[in-house]
Amino acid sequence: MIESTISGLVNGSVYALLGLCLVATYRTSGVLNFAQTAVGAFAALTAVDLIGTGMPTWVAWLIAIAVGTVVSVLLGLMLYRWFSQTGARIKTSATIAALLALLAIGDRVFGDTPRSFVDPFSLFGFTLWGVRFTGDTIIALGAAVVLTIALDVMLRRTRTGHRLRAVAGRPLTAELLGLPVLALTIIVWTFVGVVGSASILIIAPTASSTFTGLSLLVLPATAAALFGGFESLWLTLVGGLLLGMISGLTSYFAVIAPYNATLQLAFVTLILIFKQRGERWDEAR
Amino acid sequence: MANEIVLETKDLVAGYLPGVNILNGCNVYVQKGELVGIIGPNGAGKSTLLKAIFGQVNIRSGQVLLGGDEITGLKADKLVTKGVGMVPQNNNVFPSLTIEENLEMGSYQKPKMFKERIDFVTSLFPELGRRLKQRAGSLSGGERQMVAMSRALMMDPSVLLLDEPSAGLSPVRQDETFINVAQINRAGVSVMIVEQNARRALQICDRGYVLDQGRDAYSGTGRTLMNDPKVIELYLGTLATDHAATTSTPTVGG
Repeated sequence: MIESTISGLVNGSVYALLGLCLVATYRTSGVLNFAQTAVGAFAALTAVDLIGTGMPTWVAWLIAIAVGTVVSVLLGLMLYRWFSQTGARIKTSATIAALLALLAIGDRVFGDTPRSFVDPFSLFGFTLWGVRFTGDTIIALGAAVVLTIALDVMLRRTRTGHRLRAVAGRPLTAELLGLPVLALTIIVWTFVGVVGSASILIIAPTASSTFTGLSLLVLPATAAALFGGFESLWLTLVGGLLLGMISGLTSYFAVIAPYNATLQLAFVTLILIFKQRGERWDEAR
Repeated sequence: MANEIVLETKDLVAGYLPGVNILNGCNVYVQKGELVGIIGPNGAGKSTLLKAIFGQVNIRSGQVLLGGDEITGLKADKLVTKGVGMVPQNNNVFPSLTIEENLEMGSYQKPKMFKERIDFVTSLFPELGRRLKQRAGSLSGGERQMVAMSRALMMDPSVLLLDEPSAGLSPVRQDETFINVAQINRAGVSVMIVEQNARRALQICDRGYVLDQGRDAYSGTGRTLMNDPKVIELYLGTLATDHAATTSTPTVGG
C-alpha cells in the first residue's frame, strides 16, 4: 500500500509541475491556460514519432520540447494580439477554444491509436524502506520542488517577476509605462511551453498513451492549481503531490481503482466547497 | 512661468473606427510649468485626446509636438523615454504589487533613477514613503490615484497627462486628488488633466480648454472659463451659474 502511495508521487509531481505552469501563466499573463497540456501532448507525440524514425531519444525529446514551445508561444501571441484588452474570462474561453482546436489537430496528425512511450528514467532509482523510488519519481519530484522555489523567488524578488505580475494585472497600464509587454509575453509562454512539454514527456509513459488522454491531464493540473487558489505556488505543489498520492493509494484497492479518474473531480469539488466555506467565514467575521 | 510650449497638438483628427472621427481638428498646448484642464460634455473627445497624444488611438491627420519635435503616433515606450507620462482613468495601479514595486515599474526604462526619483515622490507625498511595503490592491481609490501619479513621475516627465483622476472618488477623496495634482504641478511638472468635474478642475488650472464634438470650442484661464456664461450654461450647470451670479464674467475667445 505504501509503495502504491509512493508510486503516486510521479504522477503527483507532474500534476504539480503542470499546476505550477497554470499558476505561473495565470499570475504572469492573467490567463488560465486550459490548452497547456494539449501543447505538451503535441510535444510528447512528436517525440514518439521521431523516436520511431530511429532518432536518439534525447534528440527527439529536445526537438519535441522545441515544438511544444513554439506552439505555446504561438498561443500566447494569439492571446496577446487578439485578446490583450479583454478580461480573464474571455482569455480563458479562448484557451478552451485552443484546446478544442489542438484536440482536433492532434487527432488528425497523430490519430487516436495508443502509442508506446519511451521511459528513459525508469532504469535508475533506489529502494528505501522496501519502497522503490524510480528515476521518474526523483526527477519529477525534484523538478517540481526546484520549480516552485525558482518561480517563488523570481516572482517575488526579481524585477522581471515584478514586471510579469504587473503585465498580468494591468496589461494596458503596463504598456502605458513603456513596459515591453510583448517581450514579457513571449518569455512567459516560452517558459510554460518548455516546462509543460517536459512534464508531459515525463508522465506520458505512466499516464496515458493517446493525444486526448494526455491533453486531459489539464484536469488534475487544474485541481492542483485550485488547491493553491491559482496564487500560491507552494500550495499548488502540495495539491499536486496530494492528488497523485491519493490516486496511487486508491489504485491499491481493487474495488475503487476503476473509479480512480473520478477522484480528480471529487478533489476539485471538495476544494471548492472548502473555499466557499472559507469565504463565508471571512464575510461573517 | 516661461512661455515655452512643452506639448502641442495641431489640427488633430483621430478616431477608433475607420471613418468615424472622435477628434475633428483639435488644437491645444501646454506651456512649461502649466496646469491645463480639458473639460467638456460626455463624448466630446477629452479622453480620446489624451489617448491620441499617447499613441493609443489612430491619428488620421494633424500633429503632436513635444518641445517642437514631432511625436505623432509614437508608441508609449518611446513617449515615456521622451518625457511624456500618462495616468489612465481606470485600473491604474498594479494591485498585486506593493507601492514600492509599483513605483519601480514607473522607472522601468531608467532603473538607475529609482532611488533619486523615489526620494522625490516620497518627499512630495510623505504618506507613500511610510507605506511602501503595502500592497496597492489594499489602497482606497484616492490613494491609488496618488500611487499612479507618483509612478508616472518616476521617469521625471516633462509633461504629465491625467485622465479623469477624480472619477469614481468620494467628494473628500476628489479634493485630495486635486490637491495632489496641484502639488505635482507646483513641483515643476507640466500637467494636462482631463476632467468631468469641470468646476473643480478649472479652480486649480492655469488654463483650460472646453472640447465639444472633438474640437477646442473655448479656451482661457481657469477663472475666465469658470465665469464665461456660455461655458457655464453648456458645461458647468446650475452650481456654476449660482457661483457666476456672484462674480464678474469676462468674455472668452473660442
